[in-house]
Amino acid sequence: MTQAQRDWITYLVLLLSMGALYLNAGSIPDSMFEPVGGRFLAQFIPALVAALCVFGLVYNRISGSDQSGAAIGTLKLSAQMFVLLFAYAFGLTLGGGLTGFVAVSALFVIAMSWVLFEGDRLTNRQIAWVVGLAVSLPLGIGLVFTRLLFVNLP
Amino acid sequence: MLENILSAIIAHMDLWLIAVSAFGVALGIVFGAIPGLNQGVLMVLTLPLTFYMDSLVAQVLLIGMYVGGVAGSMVTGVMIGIPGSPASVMTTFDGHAMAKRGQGARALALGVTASFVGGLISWLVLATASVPLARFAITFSGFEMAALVFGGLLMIASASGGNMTKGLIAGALGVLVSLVGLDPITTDPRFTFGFEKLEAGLGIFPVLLGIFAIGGLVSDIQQPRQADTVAIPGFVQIIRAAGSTLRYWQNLIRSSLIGTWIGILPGIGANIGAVISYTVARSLSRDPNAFGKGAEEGIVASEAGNNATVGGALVPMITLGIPGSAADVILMAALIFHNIQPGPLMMVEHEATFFGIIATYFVATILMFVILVASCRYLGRITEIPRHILAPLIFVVAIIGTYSINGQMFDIWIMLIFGVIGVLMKWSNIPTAPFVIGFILAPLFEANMRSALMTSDGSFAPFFTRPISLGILIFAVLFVVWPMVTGALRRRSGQTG
Repeated sequence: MTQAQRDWITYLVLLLSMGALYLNAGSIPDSMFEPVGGRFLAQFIPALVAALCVFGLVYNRISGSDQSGAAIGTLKLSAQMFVLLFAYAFGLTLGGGLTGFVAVSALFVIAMSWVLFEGDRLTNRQIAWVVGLAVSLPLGIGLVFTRLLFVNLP
Repeated sequence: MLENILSAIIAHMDLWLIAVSAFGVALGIVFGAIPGLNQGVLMVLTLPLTFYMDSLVAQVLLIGMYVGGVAGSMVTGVMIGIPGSPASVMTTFDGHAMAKRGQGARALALGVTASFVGGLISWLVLATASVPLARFAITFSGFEMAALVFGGLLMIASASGGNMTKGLIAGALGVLVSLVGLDPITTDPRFTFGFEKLEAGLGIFPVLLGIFAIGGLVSDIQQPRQADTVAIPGFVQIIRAAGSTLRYWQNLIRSSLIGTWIGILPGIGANIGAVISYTVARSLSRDPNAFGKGAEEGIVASEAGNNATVGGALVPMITLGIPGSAADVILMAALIFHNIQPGPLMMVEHEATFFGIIATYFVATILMFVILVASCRYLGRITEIPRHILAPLIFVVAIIGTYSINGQMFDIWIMLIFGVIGVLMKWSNIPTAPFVIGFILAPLFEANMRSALMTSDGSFAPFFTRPISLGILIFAVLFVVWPMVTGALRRRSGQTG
């Protein structure tokens, strides 16, 4: 996919979203005590973004930049997806109260290290580092937040 | 007056006071560097302890924390791409780009020296011209404040580099996201879609950490790491790098003065000081396109600008009793507890404390410089940590940092959602800087604009008839248009030559 194609998709998605937000902002009641109420910016900004998107689309068309452009290199999508999935799983597990912060963080650190490791295979020394981090990081954070800052972690 | 300041500085050359100040600065740096925590949190936690201290020791400790916190927030921004606070967002763009090239320690040295010079210049202003400047600052009405914030927004959108349309879209989207929640004046819900939890609005840290920590890290997975193989410079090289900051002396002085003035204006903090200094530096730079890609000038402008706001913010506090920032409110609370009322009479009734604050700020600025320069070499090693160790560490700290602010899982979800938005913005090549700055500055803009319009019965005319407001708007537009004009002229001269 070229950058121009990405731009086209971005502008179109933004245009549709701004239309929906503009309509949604129409439900904000008029202010009785001030000349410019809370609806002014809530409608002005989506309209401004939509206008900028139209300008972007037209400008790309006129300047011919939507016709040119080389394809952008393939992404390491699998690693990105895994990392995001792990982050959401981390949040879900913490929020669901399945287990405490220390245990879920330790598992998260190990899982992410495994996904992000850039070598062929982890050496014993590297495994020791990862496990050490997985144990010490959650315990350290837990101690600092609960004992020093009096923040109860989930 | 200068005699009084000098004797106050000499009085502060006590080993115990220097140790307390150094402790405050060091703690401030640590708290400033941890995303989700900041000098405000540290000062609030320390405030009850200061009630048992001598008033001088309390002010030395709190001002040390304040100075250290603002300077420390750039450390994580430069080294791992996550600003410790919104004040160092601009530093992150160029500083982290340098760190990725293996120049993290140099970037830190530049930032530290710029912070030091910014602090010193604002101290000079504080020591010599605080009373007339504070009196002038309070003549600023909502129109001037709104014009100033609007100018900042416009300038940052143009400073995004490359595509200005996308910069403006990003800035506007940031403003849009800041509108989520209850209207601050009428309390009508806006863009809450029936979710009660959204009525409180979206917090700065979930959004900031989502965009920078989660979005930045996930996007960076596709980038090969280069810093692992680059040697960390020695102490002498760090000192040389720090010295090379003085090459940008015009930028340093200009940014420091901008930051000081922004600090003097009540309610406008280090964020906008950094933004305006950065955008002005970019507009006047010979190579504006390098900004955001590791420009040393960008780091210098941003750090001088944000640190100078500290001294600036102290001006209205000690002369008028008006806190210039949230941290000043805490400082004021500590002083009031010790029966010292900051304000016009402070210089007469509590002369020692008045000049003591000025002297303390000077000493803390020097200590901040010494501590950060000494630790640059070690902080620079952060980039040597392998990604499979560093990334999980950042994720966990970001998630817990976000949770710790309100103790709500909801904030973690907001952060993760903005992480995905950050990835999508990178995918679409929409710059994140204007988005974040738009998000931070919009509430200030809206509040000032609406209160100003109430005084003019809804007329926008005073924005253009009041000289200061008009001046600010012309200044902002000029700085947006100037790079375009110079760029066009250069292209034309290139074609003819």
